[in-house]
Order: sequence, then structure tokens, then C-alpha cells
Amino acid sequence: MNGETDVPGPHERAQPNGRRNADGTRTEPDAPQKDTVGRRAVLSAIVVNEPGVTAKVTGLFARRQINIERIVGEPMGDGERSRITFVVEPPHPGVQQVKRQLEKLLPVISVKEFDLEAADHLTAAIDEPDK
Amino acid sequence: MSKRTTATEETADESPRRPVTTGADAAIAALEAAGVEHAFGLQGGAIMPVYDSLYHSDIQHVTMCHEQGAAHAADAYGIVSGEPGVCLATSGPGATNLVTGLADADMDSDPMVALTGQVSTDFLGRDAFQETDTTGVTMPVTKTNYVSTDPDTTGHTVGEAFALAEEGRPGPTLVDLPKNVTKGETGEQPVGPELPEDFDVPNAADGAAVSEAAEALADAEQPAILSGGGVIKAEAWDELRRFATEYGVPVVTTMPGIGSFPEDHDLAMEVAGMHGTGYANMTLQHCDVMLAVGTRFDDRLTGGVETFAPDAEIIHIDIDPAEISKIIHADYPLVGDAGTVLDQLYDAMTRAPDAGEWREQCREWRKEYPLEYSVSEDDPVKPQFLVEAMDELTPDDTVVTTGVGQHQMWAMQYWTYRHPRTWVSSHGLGTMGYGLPAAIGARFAADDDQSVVCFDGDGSFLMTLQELAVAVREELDITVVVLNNAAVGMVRQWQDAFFDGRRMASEYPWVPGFDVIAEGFGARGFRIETYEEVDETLREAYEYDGPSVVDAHVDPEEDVYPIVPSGGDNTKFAMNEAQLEEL
Repeated sequence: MNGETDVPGPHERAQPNGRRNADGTRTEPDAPQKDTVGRRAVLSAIVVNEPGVTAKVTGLFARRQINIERIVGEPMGDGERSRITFVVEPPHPGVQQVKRQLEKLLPVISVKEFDLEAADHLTAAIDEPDK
Repeated sequence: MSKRTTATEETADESPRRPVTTGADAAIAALEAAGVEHAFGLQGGAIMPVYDSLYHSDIQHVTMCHEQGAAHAADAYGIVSGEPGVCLATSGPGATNLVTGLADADMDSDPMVALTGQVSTDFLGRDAFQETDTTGVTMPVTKTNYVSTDPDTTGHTVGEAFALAEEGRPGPTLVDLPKNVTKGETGEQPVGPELPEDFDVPNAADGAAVSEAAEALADAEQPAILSGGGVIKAEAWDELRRFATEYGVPVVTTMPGIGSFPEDHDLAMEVAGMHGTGYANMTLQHCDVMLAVGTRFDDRLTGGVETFAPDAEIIHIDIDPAEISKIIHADYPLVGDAGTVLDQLYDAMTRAPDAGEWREQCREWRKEYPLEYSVSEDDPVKPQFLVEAMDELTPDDTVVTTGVGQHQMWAMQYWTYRHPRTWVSSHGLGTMGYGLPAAIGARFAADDDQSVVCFDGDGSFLMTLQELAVAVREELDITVVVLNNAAVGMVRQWQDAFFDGRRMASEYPWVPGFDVIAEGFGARGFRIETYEEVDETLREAYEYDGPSVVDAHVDPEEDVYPIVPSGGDNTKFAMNEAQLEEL
């Protein structure tokens, strides 16, 4: 019967020793949480150049709480493909997750991550808008 | 000429398939080429050309009362058959009414194809009558979607949508069909479902990674398997069972994983998570190596991530690379088909883990934390009692569908599931009203000699009960048991537990008589108010050859236990109200 059996209470049970951090990684019980503020990643996606592809990519980012800081898009070669490059602030669990989600979109052909310096080159022209 | 929606005598066998002449013909021919036998939907202006092509097809169309019902029926059809369920709707409200069903299928990775009518391409983007940006609206809730703009490619697009719905990690796809495209001329005969070029689905996992995982598992002292819905999607239940029994590893399932391992097996710990069994949660929480297969570590399963199985190394098998380390870090990620990778792992094991003591511990937990409730002849009937009575009455392969809420949890806990594809529920989205339309879809997909039972709550049933008209019209043998507690009980339970008992908008001062409503629809209606009535009434309802509804008035104060409060530590489940107060 509910409430009257001698089932061990929540605090009387054996407890595991460990702990995970917010990313779901096992960690020492007293380890400080990783500082996740201010991380940036540069991602460049080759996509099929068709209506709605930018909406699909940016919609995915919006749904998954990924802020796009900068974005540049341009057609490649004969115009059948485009390259979209972003600087994003990925929340946990991080940039790998963003890449894998992007790769699942049908019009996305490939995704590459660049180092942060690439972001400066990427936006060099944009920084001087009046030129 | 009205066409019977129910296929009766042999129909157009003597007439050869008509050649494709329009985009609509191509869409229907693509479904036929994919082997589609049933479709669920509703008529409407922009989809009329497609229905006109359906007139000549052998596909059996089931006219539903509401597009949401069509989507849930198709979803359940996909779950039970393993093949994509098909639904159709017109533009505008028809398409938006599908959204809940699409989102439900998307969350649970159920294979499904939706075809929607659309205004002619000349009118697109000009706010025409019944125009909605359907692909825009459904983008976040479909695996992929399309607007077909050329009748010559319509058949190919529908075939691709079908192929994608079932390939890899399944999910819902949608093709929006503008009216001038479906009316437009074409002679392109579709060949059958084809995946897009370069679409790559992983099958076997990397051999070295498999060896490392096998070594970790062989070294484990407290191993556990977490079997998710992906095991059923991949039809990997035999591989899973072979692995678990050969190496002596206790098996916990997720809710969508119900049926992937028989719950009456000695190694079965049943479902873990918020309302899972105490022994399932203790097993997962204390394991040192977890073999997680086809699961996305939903928060209703893990509770707080920080406290979830914190001593366990995780081996994660999934066909979707994006699920690896999304919520719980995978120490051994194995991307591939569940059955293939389980076989790889089986072969790579050099020995069974030395886990005799651990298995004994798991059995102890099963004794220590049993599922239980109290029965007193003078009190209102306990809902759990009805679930157990119905389980006893019906064969082992009976398909159970549910709505969402307390009744769903009791149906999950107190029914013993022994076979895959016998549990049909709304997990990720938690869609109240899922149960009845799902029972209709399941009825068409299940074997003729299989029974279909729907457990629903009064709140949940009230959301989609109009679909009873379909069950009656189509002469479907389904039994609906409404665990009627005159409340949205799960909300009421949470208000009592976490909002100081302020029962705002959760109790119904008056609930319609569901037995009377059922009779009005042309179904059989029954009522249960006392324990003496349970056995005979359930039997009569179950044995009735057609749709029946049992309005079972149950104890309105009964709560679902065990419970882990949202985001809590799964070791600290409450078995009863007194334990909840300790948290």
C-alpha cells in the first residue's frame, strides 16, 4: 500500500559517487564548471543554392539557441552551390553539435570549422561598409 | 459515384494501372510504387486533384474527422507497421491542422509522409484563399519538406519523401502540392522511392571503436543496457536480446523502447525515468558501463544531467551522429545501425562481464521497489487495477495506444509488454488526444487477429473523440478504456506536489458521459463505477466486434508513483506521497 510500506526513502538509498557537468561529461565532484561564456566558432557550409536554404540554416540555429554573430553568403562556381560562413556562439554542448545538426539538413553538402582568425578575414570587408 | 473508402470485394484487379497523365497521378503513382496500402486524410479545395487521382487507386483511403487525427493515425500506422504512414490534407487550415501530428512524429522519429494541397503557384505568396506557407510552418517539425513546382518531378519528389521518411533515423516528411502542379500534365511514371544522390546512412560502426567499447563492457562489474526506441525502429530486438542474454546484462528501456525487450524476462528492469520503476532507475544510476542503444537521452529519462548515471562510462549506439554527446557525453560513440553494431559488439566481446553479484543486486532492487497501489472494495476503482485487468483479459500481442497524462503512465507501468510495436504512444511531444486516432491507425496496420486497446484519460479523450465516427464508419474493432478521473490528472498531481495544492483549471466539475457519447456515435458504450463491474464490463467491451468505449470512473485522487521531480536525481524517486515530502 502506498505510503505505508518500509521502502527505503529517497535519502536512505545507496548513492553513486560521481557527477556530470552540464555537458553530460563525467567530472570530479568538486571540479569547477568550465567557463562557457564568450566561446566563438567559425563554420563554413557548402550548400545547394536554392530558395529557402538560408532560412533552413538560420532557422536551425534559432531553434537550437545558437546566436549568429556574423554571416556571409556567396554563390560558388557555376552558381549551383553557395558557401555560407558564420561566426556563432554555440551554447553547450558545443560546436560539434552545431556541425552535426547542420550536416543533417538536406541542402547542406559539407561543413567545415575554421580557426577564429578566419572570422577577421571573413568580415574585413564588412568592417568598412562605406568603401 | 461515391467510392467506398473501405476496400471490400476485389476491386480494380482486372483493369491495369492507369497511365500517369497529371502531377496528381504522379503523386499517387509514387505512393503505389512505394507499396502504400492505406492513407488517412481529409478532402479540401487545393488537394482535390490528388483525391481525384486516388479515386482510381487501390490505396484504401480512410476519411478522418480532423487533420490532426489523420496525422496521428498515419504516425501510429508507421509505428506498428514499420513503414511510413501516409496522410493527406488540403492547404491552409488543413495543413496547419497537421502540424501537431508532424511535430509528434518528428520528436519520436516515426516514419510518416504528408501530402498537402497548396494554392496554384501563380497565387503563392499573395495571401490567396486558404494559403499558408506550409513548408515554412512545418520546417522545424519535419525531417525535410518540399514544394513541388513541376508536374514532371512531382512523382520523384513524393518517392524521395517516402524514402527519406524511413531511411536512417526515421521521421516525418512533407510534400506541398500546388493545385496547378497536380492538375498539370505529365507522362512521368514514378519508379519508386529513391534516396537523394550522395545520401549516406551509416551502417557498421568503426571496428576499432567497437573493440574499445567491447573491452570496456567486458571489464564492467555493473553493466546495464539502455534500450531506446531506435532498437525498435532498426528492428534490432533480436540482436539486443541475444547480446543481453549471452553476456548477462540487465536491460532498462526508455518509454519509446518499450517492447524492445520482454518485460517478463529475468534481466528486464523495465522503463527508467520520471515515472519509471525504482529498480530501473537504481540500475541505471549505479551501473559502471552503460550500453545505450537508439536513445536521445530525453530529460524525462535522465532527470538532472549532473546526477544521471554519474559513475557510468557510456557506450552510445545511434544512427544519427547528432545524437552523440548531445545531452550525455559518449565515452564510446558508435554511429551506425543498431542491429549491425550490436552484432559487431557481440562478436568483439572476448568474455562476459563478471556481473553475477550485480545481477543479484538488480533483482534485489526489483523486490525492494515494487510497483504497487492499494485496493479497497469500498473506494473508487483504482486506475492501475483496470490496466492490469485489461492486460489479463487480452492476448500478449495486443497493441496498446494511449493519450498523454496519468493514464499513459499507468498503462506504461502496469501492463506487461512482451513484443515490439505493441506500445504506441506520444513520448517526446506529449500530445494529449493522441490515443484514439492512433488506435485507428494501429488497427489498419496490425494483423487482423491482433487486438487494439486504447487507454485514454477524460481530458485527453475529449480532445479528439470525434474520430469515433471514423471507427464506427470503418467498422474497426478497437476498445477504448477511459480512465476518467474528472481532471487533467497529471497537472492536478503536480499542483498538489509543487503548487501547494492550488488546483487551477485542472479539475472538471462536470464531465460528459463517455458511454452515452459512444452510443451516439454508433459505438458501444459501457460504464464502470465499482470493482464488481470491472471484469464483466471489460470483457463485454473487449469482445464486442466493433468500436467500444468504457467510461471507467476511477479514484480522482490517485497519483502516479514512483516520481522523480523534474530535473531531479533519479536515485531519489518518491514511491509515495510521504517520500515525496522528503524531497
